[in-house]
Amino acid sequence: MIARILFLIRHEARLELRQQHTLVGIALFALSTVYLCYQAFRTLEAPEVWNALLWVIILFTAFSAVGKSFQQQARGLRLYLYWTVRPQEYIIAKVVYNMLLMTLLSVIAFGAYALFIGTTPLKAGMGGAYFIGLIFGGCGFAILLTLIAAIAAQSDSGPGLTAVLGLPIAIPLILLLNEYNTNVLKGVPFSENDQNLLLLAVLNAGVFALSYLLFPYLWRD
Amino acid sequence: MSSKKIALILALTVAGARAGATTVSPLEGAFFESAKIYVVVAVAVLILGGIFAYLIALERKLKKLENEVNQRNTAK
Amino acid sequence: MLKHWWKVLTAVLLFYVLVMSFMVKLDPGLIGVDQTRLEAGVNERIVAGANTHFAKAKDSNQIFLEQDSVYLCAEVAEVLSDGQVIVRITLPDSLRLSFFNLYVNNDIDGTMSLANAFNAPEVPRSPGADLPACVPQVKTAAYAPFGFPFQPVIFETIRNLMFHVPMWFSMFFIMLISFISSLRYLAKPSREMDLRALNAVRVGLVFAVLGLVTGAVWARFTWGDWWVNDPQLNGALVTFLIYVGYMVLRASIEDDQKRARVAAVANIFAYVILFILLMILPRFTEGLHPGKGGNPGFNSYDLDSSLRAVFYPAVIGWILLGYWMYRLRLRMNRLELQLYYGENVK
Repeated sequence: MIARILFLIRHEARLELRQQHTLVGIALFALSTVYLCYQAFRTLEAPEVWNALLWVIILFTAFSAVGKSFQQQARGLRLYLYWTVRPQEYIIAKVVYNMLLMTLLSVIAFGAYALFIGTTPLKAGMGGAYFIGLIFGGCGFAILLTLIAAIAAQSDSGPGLTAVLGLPIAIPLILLLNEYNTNVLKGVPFSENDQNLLLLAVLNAGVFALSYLLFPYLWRD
Repeated sequence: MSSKKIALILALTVAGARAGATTVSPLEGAFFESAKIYVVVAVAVLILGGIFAYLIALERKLKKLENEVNQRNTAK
Repeated sequence: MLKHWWKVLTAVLLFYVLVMSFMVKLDPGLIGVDQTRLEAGVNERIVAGANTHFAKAKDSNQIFLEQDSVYLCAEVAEVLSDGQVIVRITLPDSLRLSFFNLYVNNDIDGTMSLANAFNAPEVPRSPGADLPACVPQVKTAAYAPFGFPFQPVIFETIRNLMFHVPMWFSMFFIMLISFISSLRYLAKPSREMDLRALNAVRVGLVFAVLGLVTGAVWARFTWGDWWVNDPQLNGALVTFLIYVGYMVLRASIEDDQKRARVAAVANIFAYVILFILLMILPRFTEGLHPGKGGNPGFNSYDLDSSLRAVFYPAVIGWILLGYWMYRLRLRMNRLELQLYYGENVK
């Protein structure tokens, strides 16, 4: 089973790399959004705005990256997968792949953000804690949006529905992330903030479990 | 004493607004002065109004169904 | 008639709630003082109360200031009316001062309090200059009125507890019906379960809208704004948006069976996330709603027996009304399908 999941992840990655325009397109989207924000703000001193802007960029990157993860399948491939792998394996592979993708994209977005807008609000020594929040957030969006994308893919109106369904559902995650990262920027020590991180992990795990249970019902066609 | 009474009336008028500390328009002043019983009335009216509006919408749908049934019966 | 006992119960409960919500009087309480600042020496201040009986209780009025369980007795200078009394407060010169709580009691109203009613300049305490010792007498009300508790800032709007809050209980209950129907659909697909899930969401949305609108009105006149940042409000809005999304999803799928299946999955996913949001998150973040520190709300202590005697019937009554509305909508939808597609759903 694990071998098959690994195969599926590698297969997803190869597919993504072969159609380079998607991955590059999303990275370009993140970069140009950051650059647009740079043109609008130049520098940002207020920690709240700095934090919020970064998360808005990552959120929309996640929507465009994960949102169409079930759209681009060729019909033949879909049928082939349908006969060869179990839906549970497929959703695990999809979620893990999207997590890796979002980790990469979050790092790219954060790098661009640091380059253009700077990291003034980030206090010395807190970079690590903020980075953990960034990874948790990116992975959280990936897990949450994978099932939403699978649902939206079943509808006739396409990926536009991902935003309608996904944005409200992402709010608990966004609130938690905001709490954690604002605390980090305020300089709250990690020992007082780890509860939020634990809650984030529990939320992510719960959503993962839910996706695992529900996806088979979306799979049969 | 009378100046104190005026001060009290003023204090009472703003008592309700203390939490928000926003400026009080005449309408809101009426709400605050009457110890906010009208807020309760407004809330109750909103709920009843909403439920009635829903009932009316439901009845319209029902009317459509009835018309459909009648048409079919006459067509037979 | 026997079959419809719960509908009779709904009507009786809601009638009782409507009458009681407006008829029950508010307990007496202190509204405020005309000037909060106190100076050393003699101060005269007006204390205002609501539903109080200062004039009627005459000589039995007693007034105390309290700070860290140390009491300072004040005199009644003049009783202006049942609702207003002038107090004379004599402050010693040197005190460790900050804020004073105010207590007023008399034979009729019992003891009433107002937190942080007065403040005074802080002067370092010199040894031996304590507050003049004073032993307060606590009086219980001469009669035990069946009244709603008096809350500063909230005042009469405590009655909204019987209207606004049950909207959310009803909505959550109806959405639970929808959730269970969706689970049962996935376990064994049937048109009936899909119809139940859909119509429950339809009626639940009505209650969500009512809850949001009434909440906004109440917030405007207690917290000063139509919308405040608060976990419960965030939760309410998210609930609304999620179920609007559910309806959009349904509208965008043509095939009946596919629509039912995908909608069921989305519904279950949404309800679980909602449960997490509404039940868990407010415990970790601060807000204005009851149960959190420093807010003018109702904590468990405030929800006293008279309030409970109306609040619980209100919750049950509104939930039953919601269920009734859901049954009507469901039966109508069945009829509709039967008529247009000739399907016998049941």
